[in-house]
Amino acid sequence: MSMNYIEANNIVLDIPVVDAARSIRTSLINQFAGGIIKNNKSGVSVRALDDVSLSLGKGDRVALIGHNGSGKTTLLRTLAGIYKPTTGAVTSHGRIISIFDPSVGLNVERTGRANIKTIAYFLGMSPSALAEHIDGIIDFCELGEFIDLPVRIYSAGMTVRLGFAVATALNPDILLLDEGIGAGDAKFAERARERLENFYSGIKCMVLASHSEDLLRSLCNKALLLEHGKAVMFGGVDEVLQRYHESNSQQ
Amino acid sequence: MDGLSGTRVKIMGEFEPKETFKYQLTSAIEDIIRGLRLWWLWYYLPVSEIQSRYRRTFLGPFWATISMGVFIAMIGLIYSSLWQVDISHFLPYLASGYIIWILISTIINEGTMTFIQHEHIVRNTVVPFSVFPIICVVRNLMLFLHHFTVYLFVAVIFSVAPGWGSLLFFPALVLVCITGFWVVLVLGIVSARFRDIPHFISSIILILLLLTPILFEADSLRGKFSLLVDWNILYHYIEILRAPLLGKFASALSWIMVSAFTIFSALAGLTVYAKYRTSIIFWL
Repeated sequence: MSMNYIEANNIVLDIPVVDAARSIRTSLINQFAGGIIKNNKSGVSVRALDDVSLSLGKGDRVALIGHNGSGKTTLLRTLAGIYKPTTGAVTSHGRIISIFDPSVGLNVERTGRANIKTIAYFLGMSPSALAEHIDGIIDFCELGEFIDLPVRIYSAGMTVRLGFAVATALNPDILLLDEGIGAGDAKFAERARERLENFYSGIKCMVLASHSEDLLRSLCNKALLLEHGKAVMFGGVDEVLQRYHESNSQQ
Repeated sequence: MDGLSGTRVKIMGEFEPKETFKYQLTSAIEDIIRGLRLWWLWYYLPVSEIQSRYRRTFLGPFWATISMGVFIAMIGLIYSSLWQVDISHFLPYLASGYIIWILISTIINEGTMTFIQHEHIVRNTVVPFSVFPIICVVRNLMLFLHHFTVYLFVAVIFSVAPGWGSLLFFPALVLVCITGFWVVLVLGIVSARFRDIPHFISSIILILLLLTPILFEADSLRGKFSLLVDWNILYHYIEILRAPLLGKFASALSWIMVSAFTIFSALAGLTVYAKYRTSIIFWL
């Protein structure tokens, strides 16, 4: 039986603000920050997630929708296990891959080939998995002899290809993805589409946070609306986007 | 095992057996074991960092080695006439002591920055935090191997005879690395929370170089200042590595002090890590 799921039960996450002064102007900051600022004995903290529950089974692709600072990335990081919830629990089963920055660990002084190695290790590949994929990754980058030159001399588009090629070579059961995987220039994007489709088709369930509604519509079949760290609505992508726009126009 | 992901059921948060210290301890130990298993990260990353630090240089990491060689030669010449000791005796002592001092002091200094420096990676990947102290120790061990050529050079010139005691160099190095890991872990955590610590440590380290028998011999301090020798834990760590390099045995006191401190650092490190592991991310 294949069992792949990820589940969040009533998670609350308070992020302590370490060097904030006691006299912090709570009301002013509340205007900008996502969560509610608490100022108690244990210091100042921001409630970044407030009683959020989410349950994904096979085939669920959930879009996280909300303003900047509404808790989308924080929720992804909590699901990934980077943040431990203050209360509540996250349960998961399956190979989770979290892609928050497809070029994490990039060192521009080193060659493309060396960076592929670093990025792959940080995104969760082992040396044996990398050995299996490295030729495909390098082929796909289409960087020719540039692959053995320092990334410092690459164009922005060329640099993006490295992370893209590595990220799409992974095959997770569960994917946690922030802002999609960029593909760089248009000519490359054409070839990238096919590879992306292959990549997404292998995924059993996914949580995607993005501001691109086209991306969310094309990849997701459910959506969660977050406001100030609270889950406001869960449903179809179009319904939730509609509600999101309504609440925007009211303000 | 495939990198950072696992297929077992993973639960974090309240459904765990209640947040007892025993539970925190188990997860801290698990985290460290996972970190140790990611050998490709802690081997490849230091290599990568060292290579990019010395990119496009002809001598690479040997630049540090050469400047150290010149420093040791100069200090050796001046101090041996200052203390009026035989240079063929003093220079091997100084060379071995100084490269060991650089190993230990750089681990401590860089250790304070271990989480701060890798903030972006900590925030955006699920790498166990214990990997970063391992990276710090491994990188400095690699640089130590480069600096070791200075000692070898001096040892050959002054024909330092290795003895049976020399074999103890390897267990001594293991103890230094184990202690180094725990010290870096604790300093990294404390420094992430209190940003004054890295500055404090680097000024203390400078003073300790002058107070610890490295540029002078321990015997010249005995008597009035013997406290600086007998109770200086850094001296004992240096001594268990230095004595083998000079073909001698370090004193039993040094081995006892080092063993005791290694155990203490492991217990203290594990306690701190268990208690604050999940808070580190909020302090970065």
